[in-house]
Amino acid sequence: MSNLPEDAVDSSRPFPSMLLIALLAVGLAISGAAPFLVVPICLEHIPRPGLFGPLVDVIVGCMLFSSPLLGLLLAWLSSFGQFRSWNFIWLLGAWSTVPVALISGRLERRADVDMWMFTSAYAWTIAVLFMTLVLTLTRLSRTTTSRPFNPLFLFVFVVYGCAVGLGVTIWWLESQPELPWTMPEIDTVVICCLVATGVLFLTVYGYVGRWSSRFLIEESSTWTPSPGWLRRLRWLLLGGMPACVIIGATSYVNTDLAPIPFWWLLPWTFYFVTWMVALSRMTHDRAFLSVWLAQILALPLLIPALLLARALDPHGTLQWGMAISLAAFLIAAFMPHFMTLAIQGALLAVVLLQLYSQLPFGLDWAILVHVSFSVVTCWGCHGDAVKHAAAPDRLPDFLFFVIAGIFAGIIVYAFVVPRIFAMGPGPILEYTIAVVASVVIRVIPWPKSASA
Amino acid sequence: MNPPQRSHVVIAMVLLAAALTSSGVLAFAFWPICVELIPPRPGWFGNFPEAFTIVCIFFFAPLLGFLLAWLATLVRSNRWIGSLLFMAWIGATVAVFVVQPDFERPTDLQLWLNVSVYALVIVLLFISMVLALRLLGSLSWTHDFNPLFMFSFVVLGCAIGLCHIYYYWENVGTRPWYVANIDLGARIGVVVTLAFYLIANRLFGAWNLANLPTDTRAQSPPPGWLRRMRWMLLSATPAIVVIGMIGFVSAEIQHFTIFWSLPWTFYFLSWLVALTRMTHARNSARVLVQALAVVLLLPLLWWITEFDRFERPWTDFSMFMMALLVAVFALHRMTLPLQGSLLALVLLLMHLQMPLEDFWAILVHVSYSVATCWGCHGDVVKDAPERDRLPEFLLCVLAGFVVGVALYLVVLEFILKSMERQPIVDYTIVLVAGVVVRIMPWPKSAGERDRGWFDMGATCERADEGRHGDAK
Repeated sequence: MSNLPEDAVDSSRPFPSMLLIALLAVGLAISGAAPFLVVPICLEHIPRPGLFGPLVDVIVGCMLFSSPLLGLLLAWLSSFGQFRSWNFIWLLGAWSTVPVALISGRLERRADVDMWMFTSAYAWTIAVLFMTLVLTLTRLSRTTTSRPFNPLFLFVFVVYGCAVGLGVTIWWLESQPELPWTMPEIDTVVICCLVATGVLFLTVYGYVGRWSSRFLIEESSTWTPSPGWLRRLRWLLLGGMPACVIIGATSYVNTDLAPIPFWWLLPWTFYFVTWMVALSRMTHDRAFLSVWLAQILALPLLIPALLLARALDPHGTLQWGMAISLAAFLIAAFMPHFMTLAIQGALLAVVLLQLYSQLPFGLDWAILVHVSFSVVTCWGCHGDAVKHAAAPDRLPDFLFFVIAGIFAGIIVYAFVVPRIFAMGPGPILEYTIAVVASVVIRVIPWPKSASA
Repeated sequence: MNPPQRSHVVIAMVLLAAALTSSGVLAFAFWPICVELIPPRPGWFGNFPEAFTIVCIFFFAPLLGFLLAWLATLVRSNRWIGSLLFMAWIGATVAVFVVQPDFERPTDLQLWLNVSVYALVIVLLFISMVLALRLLGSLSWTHDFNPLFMFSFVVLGCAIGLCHIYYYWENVGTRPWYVANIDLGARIGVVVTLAFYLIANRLFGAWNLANLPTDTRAQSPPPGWLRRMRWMLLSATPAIVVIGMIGFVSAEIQHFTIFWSLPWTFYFLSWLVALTRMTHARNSARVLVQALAVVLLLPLLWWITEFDRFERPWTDFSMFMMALLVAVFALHRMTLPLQGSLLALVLLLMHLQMPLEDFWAILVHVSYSVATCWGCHGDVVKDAPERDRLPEFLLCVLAGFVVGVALYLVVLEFILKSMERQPIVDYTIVLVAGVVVRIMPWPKSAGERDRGWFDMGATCERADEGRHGDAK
């Protein structure tokens, strides 16, 4: 594989067993779903009226969703030293605080304090889980294998977990299902899953260490040069801009075209699908079976969107239009990556025309154009980000900046920019800036690599 | 090997640049002379068949020159080819002065005799041009020098030649005097150009004679047919888009007498920009050549008077020209999304009857053609092969232009002639092709495999980082 040194591929050396990879995949999916699954549990414990009043939901959500970022930050910081044995000790130390935090969080409930302890305990667990996950994947990249293997590919399962977690959480919060278990039981199951996943990662981390001690590549030969701040800024923007476009398109369609319940689920599903496509296609040189399987795995994520469409149109009067739209979105998400820039440019022109001219676009065509543009933007930017990812030993660096970009993008677009443009044309101008910027960041001449 | 003296290099390069520019000008200089020589005759088609044949001959003459130059590079040693070329030059120079045109009483025999002599001169000019550039590429330089850069002077010459045609076309009343003078100038130009080539070749050869390889065949791996086809398509598509756009704007939007000169000037300008930017990393020469290219736009100032029919303020005209300049001088990597945006606008304008004033509609159409020219030309120059494969590259590029234009004007029109709204369908196909040809997964270079439709192997950039470096 081109992104590994030549001595990383050695036909005489065994590849990590498939069981190990399968277990890792499950653990990664659980990790991805964790921030979403924990939200309803934490919201259950919110005392009302609490210290922060109605803002408490937002704060809990922010704490839980930013916990993976904290984990990635810790992983990145820990990668500043070369791989040494104290990493393992540090990880064990971090994990040892989790039971303490969880137990203290489950002590006798004392209203606000208890809820914050509880949420903090979950957030810390998720953060440590992500840190362990990234360090495990990074260590996996340092082993020689009998065939090319890029651990970034495995991040597909994290994205998959995120998408599934989002779907389950929405279903949970909106339909309030009658579950056969009580909330404490669910709580316990989730905690057990998280801790078990953490133990699995730690085991793999240790196992890879022992296994690779025989085959470990010379440290100096795999440690690539630092990527540079401009390149990190590029990762940040390529991670953040698609999220901004999705939010912009979603709110524009909801406020200016047609308010459709749960409409936002569709673009966000495609957002995750494009990440999966990017991570599976851009991390391998050749079309392995796993690459195709990972992309096929993304398709079931569309089922909730299809069910939603069926619920919105029970008589099937719009089924042809919906089928065409879905086909367009699938083409947008699965087209060859080198076509995205031209298609993005073409759709940008149509989106701007729709926004600013008095052209008589039909409602369905307008929605189709906006969603197609956001899907193409997601695939284009995510593909670019993964294509220009750092070498596997710099995985924590890359993942931290991409995820930080997503968070920064959402915060800036949802909170900062509306205040800046509060007196002006408002949401349409914000959306315009986002769509134009999403094309511009792809064409401006960024440094390609540290040496370039 | 002793490095050449700087003064010799400068003199040789200036002489070669002058010879190349002059070759480009001469490629267009003989057209009006020959058209003036066509005997007046009544008939259904008037003088059109002769004029068309002459234009075709002058289009194919450079192609023949490139083909012969390429064939010359296939033989082991081209010393005898040099002698043969020298003899042909002597013959052509003599013929140019012996076969004098008679504008007063033109006859068929004299017309075709003159056309043959002039065509032979153009063939020789283009052979000499390619062989000189190839020699330039085989020399040792103190810095990385790509001889393809010098081809920008040929394009500059062609653009000047086009301006001359445009001047001829517009000055019907003063034609005899003008054409007679051009004829004299062209004959003198042939001799001077030959002298420039000879001196430049002599100077280049002098410092490096001992190091020139005895086997003059190309040593780098051959490019492969798919790559050659890419060069041809990337060269043909912009020309076809420009022709289609001129036809569409003239027929469907507004008819201008000399509208064609605007997009063709930008066509040459985009070649100039591509050849200067894509062959050098950073130097003052490329900035100078691009600045020189802007001079080509001066004749277009006169053309602005044509805009009077729109009755618009001068700010709109400035914006019109500014938009085209931005399109042709934009960063090359921006051309693809720009092309995509403009394509969407053009298609909406054409097929959804989008209400837009003629002035802005023309701007959109012209901008798309300019962006396509710069995008495709940039791509083709970026993909150029090693220096020793230069003749092959130039042949494919010119062949793409000539064959593409011929196919568009004859074959596509014939295939679609039964269709309703045939010109619009023609033009639509060409517009879409302008983007498709750039995003198709062509092999990038001889050593690389295809990109493939699913982007497997996109991780190659990480290999650039290398394995060395510290972890700090």
